[in-house]
This record gives sequence, structure tokens and C-alpha cells, in this order.
Amino acid sequence: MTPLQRYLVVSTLLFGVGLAGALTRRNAILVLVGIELMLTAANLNFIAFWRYGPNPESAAGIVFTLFAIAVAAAETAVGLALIIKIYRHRRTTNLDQMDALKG
Amino acid sequence: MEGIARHLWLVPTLPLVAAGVLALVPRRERRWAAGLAIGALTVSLVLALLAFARTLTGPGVRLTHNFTWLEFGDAQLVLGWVLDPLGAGMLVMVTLVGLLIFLYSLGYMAADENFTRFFCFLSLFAGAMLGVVIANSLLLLFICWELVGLASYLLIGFWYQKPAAAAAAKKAFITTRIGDVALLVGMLWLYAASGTLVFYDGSEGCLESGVVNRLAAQTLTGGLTLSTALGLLIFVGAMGKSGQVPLHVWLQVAMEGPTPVSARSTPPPWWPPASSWWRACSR
Repeated sequence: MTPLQRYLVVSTLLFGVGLAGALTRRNAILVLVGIELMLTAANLNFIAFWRYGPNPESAAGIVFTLFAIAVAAAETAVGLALIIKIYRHRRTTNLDQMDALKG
Repeated sequence: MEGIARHLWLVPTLPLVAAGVLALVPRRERRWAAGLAIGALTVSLVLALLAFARTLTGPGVRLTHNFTWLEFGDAQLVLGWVLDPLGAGMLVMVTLVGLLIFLYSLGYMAADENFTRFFCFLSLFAGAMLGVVIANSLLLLFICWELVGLASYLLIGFWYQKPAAAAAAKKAFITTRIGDVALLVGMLWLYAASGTLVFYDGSEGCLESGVVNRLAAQTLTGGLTLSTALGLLIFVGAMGKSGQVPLHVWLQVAMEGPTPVSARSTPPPWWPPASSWWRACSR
């Protein structure tokens, strides 16, 4: 296995763990954690393809990843704020009980 | 004997690894969990004593080990650790006092159902604090500094079912964060002004006379030199963590955590690195 393939296997596993968490957990915060894991897997892919790609001297991979991490931090802050707001309103973080939009 | 400086990273890493393992250990494995935490810190204490013995071999021993962590075009972020008499003394003290607190917690927390979680957090705290002591780069110091903040948040709020404990933990986290913003600004400004965050690096480090003299020669408004401004910013970070006025408000309610935690977080052993910076800058 080439080093690139190893990185891709790790990021695939990480993505799988995140996806399983996001789909099976009913707690909103744990779903957010799952989403973050999937983002981390995508970042790992960015870095791996940049490092073993045709042009590792340019800083493109690192710039992309740092940008994605910063955006992900902002996204988590917004997500957590939403969860706190919903919790204050409904007294629960269970996603199955957040069904106010159901017809 | 040079090996001890190269392997100094083991001192904080062992408790951190123990904390990582303990996070996965099931709740009923109490004996095993306590043994792992105390064993890791005991090995750290032995290594710290070896390092301390090394600094006694001559006056002003200073051994450093630096490596490039991240390369970004022409800019580099360098991390590393340093062994000098001040750091070695602190290492021995932090590991010894930490070990005593671990042993005390063994009995104090014996009836608590989250015994393993407590030892996980204590190990994280110990590892992060040892990281602050050996850091030779302001960036590594900042990373460990934030880990200390996280660990004190977790420990003060250990009995999170108690509303007072949860509120105290939140207060501690947010108050120390205010200080850390100043530290972060100081760090970025230092990097912009001097291009290095390493304390000792041949003669290129930001605590050594070349860079300090260069920073002290630049005057901002009102006769304030750049080095004084940077020192003040970094000092505010130390104020936040060590509970000095006006960032002391978290310390009064921090006793909501278990007693061993108060023993761990009240003496502020993390300010010497910052104070040595302060000293070097305000000459």
C-alpha cells in the first residue's frame, strides 16, 4: 500500500465513524460530534492529496485545511448555540422529539 | 546524559497517554485505572529527577531540542522543549506534588462512582502542566496552557449534577479565556515582530538578547517599548490562570470541585515560564 492509500484508508474509517454517529445517535450534541469527525476526514484527505499530489511545494493543501478548520469552528459555534436555544425551548436534545415541522 | 534532554518530552506525554487510555476504561476497573495514572506519574517523577540531576552537573545548564512542526511557504512553526535549572526544579515539584495529590485522591474519591473519570482528568491536568513547564516555544506553551484550562474546567465541574459546580466550571473557563485572548494576541504580535516563537534557539530565540534588544529598541506611543507591551500581554494570560485581580473571580468558586482539585489548581505553578519572559522583556 502506498502512503497515500494508507491516509485514505484512515480518513475513510474516520468518515465512516462520523457518519455512523451522525445517523444513529439521537442526541443532538453527539450528532454534531459525528459531523465534526466527517469534516476532519475531509481535511485529512485534503492534506494527503496535497502532500502526495503533483505539487507539494505550494501551500495550497495547508491553506485549504486551515480555512476548513476555521469555518468548521464557526459552524460548531452556531450549531451549539442552536442546540442550546432548542434545549431552552423544548427541554430536550433528543432529535426524535424535535418534530414540530411534521405535518 | 544528553539523552535526558532529548527524551524530556516523555515527562508530560506519559500522563497524557494515561489520560487517553483512562478515557476508554470502563467505570468498574477502579484499581487498574488508579494504578495506571499513578504509575505513569511515578515514571514521570523519576525522569524529572534524572533531568534535575543533569542540571546540577554545571552552572546554567541549558539543553534544548527543537523541531519544525509546520512549514508554510517560507514561514515555519517550530516546537521544542528546554531543560534548564528553573524548568527542572518545577518539573520535580509538579510531579512530586501531583503524585501526592493522586495518592490522596485514592482515598478521597474512593466512594465516588466516577473514580476512573476523575483519574483521567487528573492525568490530563498533570500532563498539560508538565508540558507548560518544559515548552521551549510559546506556541507549545499556549497549546498546553489551553489544555490546563480545559482540565481545570473538567475538574471544577466534576460533580456537574450540582448546579453550583457546573456554574463554577463555566466561570473558570470563561474568565481564564479572557486572559488567554491577551496571551494569544501577544503571541501573534511577537511572531509578527520577531518571526520566532522559540524561547532558546542558538542565539535566535525570542528570550535571548539579540531579539529582546531588537524588540526593546522599538518604541510605541508614550515611551512604551514593544517588548514591554508584549510582556504585558503575556502577563495578562498568566494573571487569568493564576487568579490575580481582576481575573480572580473564578478562584473563589473553584472550590466547588473535589478537594484534590483545589489543591492542584490553587498554587499556580504555570506562571514561571511567563514570568521569566516578563523579566527578560522588561529589562
